[in-house]
Amino acid sequence: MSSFGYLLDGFAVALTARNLLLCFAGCLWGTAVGVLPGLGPLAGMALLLPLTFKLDPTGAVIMLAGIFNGAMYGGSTTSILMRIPGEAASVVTCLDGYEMAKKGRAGAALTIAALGSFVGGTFSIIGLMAIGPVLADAMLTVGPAAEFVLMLTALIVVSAVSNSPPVKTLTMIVVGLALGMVGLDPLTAWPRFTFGSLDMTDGINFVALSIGLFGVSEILLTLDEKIPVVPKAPRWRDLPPTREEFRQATPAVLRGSVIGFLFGLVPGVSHIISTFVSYAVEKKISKTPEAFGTGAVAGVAGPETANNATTGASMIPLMVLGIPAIPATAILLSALLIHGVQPGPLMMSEHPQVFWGLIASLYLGNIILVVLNLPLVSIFVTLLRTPMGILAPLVLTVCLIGVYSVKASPLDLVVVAVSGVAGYLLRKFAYDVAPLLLAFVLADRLELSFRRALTISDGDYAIFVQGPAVKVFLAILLVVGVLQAAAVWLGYRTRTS
Amino acid sequence: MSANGRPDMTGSIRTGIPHWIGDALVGLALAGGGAVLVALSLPIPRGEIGNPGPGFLPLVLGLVLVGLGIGCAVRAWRAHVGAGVVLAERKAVVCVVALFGAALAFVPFGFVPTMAIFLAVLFGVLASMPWWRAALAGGVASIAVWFWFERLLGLSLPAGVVGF
Repeated sequence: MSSFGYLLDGFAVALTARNLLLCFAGCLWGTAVGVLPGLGPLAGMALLLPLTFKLDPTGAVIMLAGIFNGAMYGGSTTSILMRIPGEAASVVTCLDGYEMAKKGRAGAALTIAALGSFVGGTFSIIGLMAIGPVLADAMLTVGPAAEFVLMLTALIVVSAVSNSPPVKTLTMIVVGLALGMVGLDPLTAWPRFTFGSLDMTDGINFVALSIGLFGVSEILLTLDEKIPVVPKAPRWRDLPPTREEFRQATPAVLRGSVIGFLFGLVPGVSHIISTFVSYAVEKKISKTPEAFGTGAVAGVAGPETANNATTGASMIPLMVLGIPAIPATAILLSALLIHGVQPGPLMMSEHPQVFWGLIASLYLGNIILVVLNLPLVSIFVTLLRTPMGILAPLVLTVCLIGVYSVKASPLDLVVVAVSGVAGYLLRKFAYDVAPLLLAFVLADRLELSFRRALTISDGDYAIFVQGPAVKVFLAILLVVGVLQAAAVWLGYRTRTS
Repeated sequence: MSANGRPDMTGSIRTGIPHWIGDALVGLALAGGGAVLVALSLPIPRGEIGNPGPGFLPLVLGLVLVGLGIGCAVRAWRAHVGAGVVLAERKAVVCVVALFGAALAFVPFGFVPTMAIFLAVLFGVLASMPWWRAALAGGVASIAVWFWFERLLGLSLPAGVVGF
């Protein structure tokens, strides 16, 4: 069957009443957490992850992907109306979106952001359909040595593109790998760092760690911030952009789609970087660069499109290689593993309904979000009026319930509290905790492929530099290293940050 | 509290230590974590260099973490930005203490009493509610949350001392 035939099957799965409802619920919750300052896609997905355990794998992934999509959309609302990015990828939208709002064009900015997000999301899904199967076939020939080098490359790329100083990002990666070593050794079943506890033999609970690092720490950090006055929501009649605004937005949307898709393939904070690159490109090629920062339509359309185009693209490393490119897809990976689905090159043949159902639901999610975001913008703005003093305790309560519901383990509650405080302190001192989570997720496979490769080679480490696949990954590593050195040399990045 | 130990007008707890010292302390704490990892890895069989055992990678990671942690601390020391910072707001500190309390009491005391106290404390401190309103809101909210998750969504929450 062709990709198109599989996609039709995927739509048949996604269009069942139950899966549509899950997609809708995910989009709604995702938009709400995207709108609320302090709660992003990660916290939103982590909080609802335990509730997806009762669903089948397809339903669980559809709901989580809806949250991810929704949060990416929702982040733009606060950026435009309040100059507060709902999540990190919406930072650039503040620059011109808020200026448009000050000029009375908030409705048009929100519509352009929503339509751009729709186009970007659609473009990335088409790319995912085109590249995914080809890459999966190629990956089937890869052995443990190449798999090890690939995962190492992914982690090194993450440290290279992180916003934190490289030494801090590397430290977080090592901490994540070390935490991933807790539990039974994957080859010999030797108990490591379990301190005699039966609970610990399964290792540290991913849900507890992710909710602590992202959900709890986010709440603690938000308590330190002051939330400004919430503005009035734009009226219905203010929503349609003018013909001139459409004309300015269209090329920026097309460029943003390509930029977002390409960056989405790179592990790390690609969804954030793609928005900055898109903004820089739009400003560079604009005939009126001086208009940027004062309410340029392309300054909203480009980054918002790029932001959502990374969504579909970031699914490619996850679904095809089994490597979460960004932290949000690490949560998707965890959900799939909990349901017994191993993402990787065999996923398309072993679980086609999950893979193609997810792709179809991403598309449907885009449509739901356009229909949902604009009419409900006033409701989401009302949500912003909930005082943090009321919201924070309730979110923390849901965090505890969510973690407890996974295994009913009291130890997990302590893990969430400890990781929450650790995440709070680390983020206060500019440590990016996302690489920690990515490394934690990959630790098991990284160690397994490392030791298996050495068994195959009879202890010869040369296996890690031999073979065509390994050489391709090492070449990528070399390119990243050269780009990094060039960035330092050209002054784009200092040696320490 | 201010740097000299007296309460300040913003209700913040100021550590009085410069940012770089805090940053360096986090780096040293990470290096300490690496040292603990090394110590805990030593009794685990390491195998050989060409045939690593279960203790090999943890030991390597522990050693690397010691080095990186020290590197972070040195980097902070070299940056040496001297201004004092608010390390932790009073609200965040109360939140952390309440969270640990709730995590430890959740199973033995049961969901409703633990979360009623947890929510009452946080409503009182974070939303600046009078104590009686915070207690009432905490009690009502904990029962509502219990009903939503236990009865409607079918999750099993700890019964504890009061039976629900």
